[in-house]
Amino acid sequence: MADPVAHLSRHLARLPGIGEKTATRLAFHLVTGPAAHARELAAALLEAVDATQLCSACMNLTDTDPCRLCADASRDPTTLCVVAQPSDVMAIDRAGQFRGRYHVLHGLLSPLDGVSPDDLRIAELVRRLEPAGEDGERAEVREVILATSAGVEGETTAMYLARLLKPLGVAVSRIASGIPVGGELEYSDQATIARALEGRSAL
Amino acid sequence: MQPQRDDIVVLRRAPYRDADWIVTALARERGVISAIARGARRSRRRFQAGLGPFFVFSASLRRRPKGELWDLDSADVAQGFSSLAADVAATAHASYGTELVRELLPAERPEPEVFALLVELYDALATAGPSAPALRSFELRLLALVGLAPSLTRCTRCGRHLPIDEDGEVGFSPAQGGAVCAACEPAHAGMSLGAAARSLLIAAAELPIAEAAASLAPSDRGTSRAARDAMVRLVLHHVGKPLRSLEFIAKLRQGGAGGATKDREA
Ligand SMILES: [Zn+2]
Ligand SMILES: [Zn+2]
Repeated sequence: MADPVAHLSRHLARLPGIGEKTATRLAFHLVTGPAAHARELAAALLEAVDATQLCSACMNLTDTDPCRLCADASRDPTTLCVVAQPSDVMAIDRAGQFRGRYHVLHGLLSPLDGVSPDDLRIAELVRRLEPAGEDGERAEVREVILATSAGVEGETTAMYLARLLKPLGVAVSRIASGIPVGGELEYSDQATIARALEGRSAL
Repeated sequence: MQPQRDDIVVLRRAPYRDADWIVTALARERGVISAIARGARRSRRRFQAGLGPFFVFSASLRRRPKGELWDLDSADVAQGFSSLAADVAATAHASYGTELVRELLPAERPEPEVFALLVELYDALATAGPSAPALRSFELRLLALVGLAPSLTRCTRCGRHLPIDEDGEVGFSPAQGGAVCAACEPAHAGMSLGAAARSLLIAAAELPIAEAAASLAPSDRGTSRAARDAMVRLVLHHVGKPLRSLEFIAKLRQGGAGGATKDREA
């Protein structure tokens, strides 16, 4: 790399919400500020990346496996809330209404963007609903709540999952349309999320 | 700049900064435009339906002082096709139409007929569900509107008329833009097209999409596939790159779940 500052700003510009101008400003800020600050930032970045993994049960981001939500015995293991992103878990849990477990898809179906079922954590979801182990005992999950947003991708994903999951013998429900059409869950207020869960309907 | 009103269909939407979308849209009067929708990921009041695909929005647009971009100030739903989402295959078919328009139209060339055709496709798929003949009608009429209609009844090289009943198959060459006679291309170097598939395409090119979906449901799967293969190869030749929605449809077909029954194929 001929110019390390340009190299840095190119990497920064790949972050969501960071344009070229902002990236250049941040890069100059980092290299002209105290070197200790930059080193601490780099160390924190590496630490966070190395310590974060996907929970083997719910696919949420976690530093322990299973994650704290899956390991919490006081949470109801018979109800699963399916969401698109880890940030949706945070939004729903903050609302305090839901006391079951989660499953994170890491995206929504979108033929226009080429996101197909095998790009999402759908196989992992199905595995959680299938009879557990060789003794043929049923998994404990009885209800799956589809909490994807109300936009086209969220609806398509919910309808696809409903068709896929119902034959497995679980009740499938969809959050009420209190979540804004196409609005992202993380921008919804807590009362709206609580009402949407309360008013969910069977599919 | 004074705001201007136009109807738009969103062809692509990408997050930009914290709360904005960058949108590629087909505007009825202006053709394909790129616009920034400020705050659109937060404002449900100014931007309805999440500015998603498969809606006609009544939009307020302003040309930015410099460059190619527009500012999209607001978008109200004028027409929605929400039942598309009930069926992932219908969504996939509508996405294919959307992607084709996105790839085949140049920027800012007014194409009101393409706008109407795309809305006609959404309407037909929302009403009748996923449909291969609907896609054939859409592809052929779209290609005709942008000057790329394939020749189906005459040899593209010598112009000889190719009657449907004549010894069944004719050659079909995406690179040469349609059917080729045996004299011009004895080995069918491209691919060949049977009589049933060719008459299906000839009929689909003339029919409204909903009518094609209702009346051209193929009696056998082979005909449907042959017509699809010819059109998909032609389309990919013109687009010059893979289409995401087609890859999605192919995966859905392999995966089976929620998808693989008759007529869900493209
Ligand atoms: Zn977990
Ligand atoms: Zn010829």
